[in-house]
Amino acid sequence: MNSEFFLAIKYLLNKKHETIIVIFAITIGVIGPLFTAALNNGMQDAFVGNTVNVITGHLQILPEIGEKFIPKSDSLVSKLKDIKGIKGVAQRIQGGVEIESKTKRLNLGVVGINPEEEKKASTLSKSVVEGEFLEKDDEDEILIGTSLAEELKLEVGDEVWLTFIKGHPQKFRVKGIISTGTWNYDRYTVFLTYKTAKQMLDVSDASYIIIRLYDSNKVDEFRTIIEKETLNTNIKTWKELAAGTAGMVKTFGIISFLTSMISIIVAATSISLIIYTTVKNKTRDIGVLKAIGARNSMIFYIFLIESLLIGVIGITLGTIIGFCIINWIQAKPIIMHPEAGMQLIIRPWISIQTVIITDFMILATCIIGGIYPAISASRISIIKAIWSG
Amino acid sequence: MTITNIIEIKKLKKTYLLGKIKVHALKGINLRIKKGEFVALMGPSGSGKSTLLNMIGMLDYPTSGQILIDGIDISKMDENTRADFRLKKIGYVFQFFSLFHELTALENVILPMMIKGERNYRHKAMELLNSVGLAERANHKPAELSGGQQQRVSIARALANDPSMLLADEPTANLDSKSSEQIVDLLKNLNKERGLTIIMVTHELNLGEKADRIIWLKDGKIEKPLSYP
Repeated sequence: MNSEFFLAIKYLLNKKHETIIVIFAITIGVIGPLFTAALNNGMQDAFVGNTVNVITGHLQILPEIGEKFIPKSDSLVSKLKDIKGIKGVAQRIQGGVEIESKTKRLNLGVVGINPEEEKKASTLSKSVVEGEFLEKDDEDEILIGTSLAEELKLEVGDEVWLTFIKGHPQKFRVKGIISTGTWNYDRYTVFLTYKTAKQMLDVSDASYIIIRLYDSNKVDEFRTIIEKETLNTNIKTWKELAAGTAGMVKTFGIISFLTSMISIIVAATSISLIIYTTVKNKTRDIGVLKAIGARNSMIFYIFLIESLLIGVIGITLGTIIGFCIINWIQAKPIIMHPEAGMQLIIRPWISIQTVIITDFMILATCIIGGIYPAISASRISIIKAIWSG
Repeated sequence: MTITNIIEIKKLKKTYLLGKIKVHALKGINLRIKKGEFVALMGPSGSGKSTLLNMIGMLDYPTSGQILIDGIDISKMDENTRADFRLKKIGYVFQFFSLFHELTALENVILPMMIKGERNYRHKAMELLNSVGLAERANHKPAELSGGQQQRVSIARALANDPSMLLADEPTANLDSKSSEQIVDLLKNLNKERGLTIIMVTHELNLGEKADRIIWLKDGKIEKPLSYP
C-alpha cells in the first residue's frame, strides 16, 4: 500500500468520532443541493410543464399585429396537421364572461375549445377529475376548474348563468371539473365548445392556435418551418410564452441553490478544521516522518488524502441518501394546494449530469478545504516539529 | 578525505536567532568520523551536541561550513535530495522514542520501507524486531510497550532501510538505568555485527564510555577530541 494512503487511513481511524461527524456534515452538504435541484426540476415541471401542457402548447400562432383573430384558421389547421413532427393542433377562442351560481357572481375568462382537437394538442381532456370532458356538439355545457368549483360551490350537473359581452344571461350545465395545476385554468376560466364560444362571443375566427410537437425541444426549428409553410409571422414558442413562470421558478431555484451552498461551505470548513486539528496534534509525527525521509510532498498528500477520503465517503453517502429521498418523494409526490380546490403535484427528479456536477463541486470544495492545512503540514520545520508538544 | 571516513566536517557553524539575539550554537567544528565507528557526543547542556547531530542528520541547515557524508557535500543539497538521503543513508533514534501511536510496532518498522517504495517489507520488519528482541510484541501499539521496548522498536525502525549510519539523540534520556544499559549494548552490538557507524549524544559518561570514541563539546566547540582508537 502507498505510505501516504496508509498513514491517512490510520489517522482517520484514530479519530473515528470526529471523522464520522465531518462525514455526516458532508453527507448533509451533498443531500442539500441535490434535493434542491430535484425539487426545482419538479417545480419547473409542475408550473411550466402544466402551463405548456394545457395553456400555451409548444408553439402558438397568434393573430398578426393589430388583428383580433386568425383568418381562415380552419385551412391553416389543416395545413399544420400535414407537417411531420406535429402531434396536434387546436384552435381556441378566448373572451370574457360573467358567471353566476347560486352563491356568487364572478367575471372570468372564457375559452372555446374543439374537444377532439384538444385531445391531441393538449392534456386538457386528461385533466377531468369529475364528470366528463366536452364533446364537439355540446351547446349548453361547460367545464370549470377545481378551484372555481370550490369558489362557486358547484358540482357536476349544477346549473349556472353565463352572460357574455353581447347578449343576455344563458343557462349552462357543469359537465366536468378539471384540475390542470394552473391558476389560470383552475380558478379563472370557463370552457365551452369552440362552436358555442364563437356564437356567444360573436367572433368570426380563432383567437389563437396551439400546436403540440412530438419533441418539445425542436420548437425553434418548427417555428421556422411553420413560418415558411403558413406565412404566419406571429408565432411564439412555449419558452417565450411561459418565460414569466419559468423565470420565477428559476429564481426560486437559484435562491435555494445558494442557500444550500451554505451547507457546502460548512462541510468544507469542517474538513479544513479537522485536518488542521490533526496537523496541530501530529506536529511531532510530521517532524519524525520528515526525519526518517518523508518528502514535503508526502506530508502534503497524507493530509490531502485524508480530506479526499472524508469527502469521497461523505459524497457517496450523500448521493445515495439523496437519491433515495428523491425517489421516495417521486413515489409519494408533494401535493400543494396554492388555492382552495387547486392541486399542484410536485415530483422531484434529478439528472445524472446535475449529480455529477454537484458531487464534483463538493469534492473540489473538500480538496480546497484540505489544501491549506496540508500545505501548513508540509512546511513544518523538522527541528521545531520534533521538539514540539 | 580518505575512503574510511564516512563523515568529514569542516568549519561548521550554526547561528540561531532568538528574537534579536544571535546564539552561536556551533563555532567552527572540524571533525572526522570513520566508517563503522561508534562515537559518543558528550558535553553539558547547550554545548551544541544535538545541534551537531541534527546537522549531520540533515535535519537542519548549517550557517556556514561543510559536511561531507561518503564524500558528498550535504550542506548544499535541496530539500527533496536531503529527504531521500535521510531515507536511504541515515537512521535516527530520538530521545522521546517518537513512534507513531496509531501504528503497531511492526507497522512502525515497516513505515520507512513503505516510504522508500519497498514491497516485501513485512518479513524484513519482523526480522528487525526479532533482532531487537521484540518479535512477540510486533502487533502491540507503542502505548502497550515499556519505554525500553519502545526505544528498541525505534532502533529497529532506524535500521529498516539499511542505513550507513545511525544517529541517536540521547536515546536513554527517558529510560531507567537497566534499560539504558540494554539500549546502549544493543547499539554496540549493531555497531560490531553490522559495522554500522553510530553517533550517539548522551549525558551519561558510563554509557558514553561504551563508544569507541567520545567527542566532548563545550560552547559550540570540540573541547577534547580524543584520538582514534
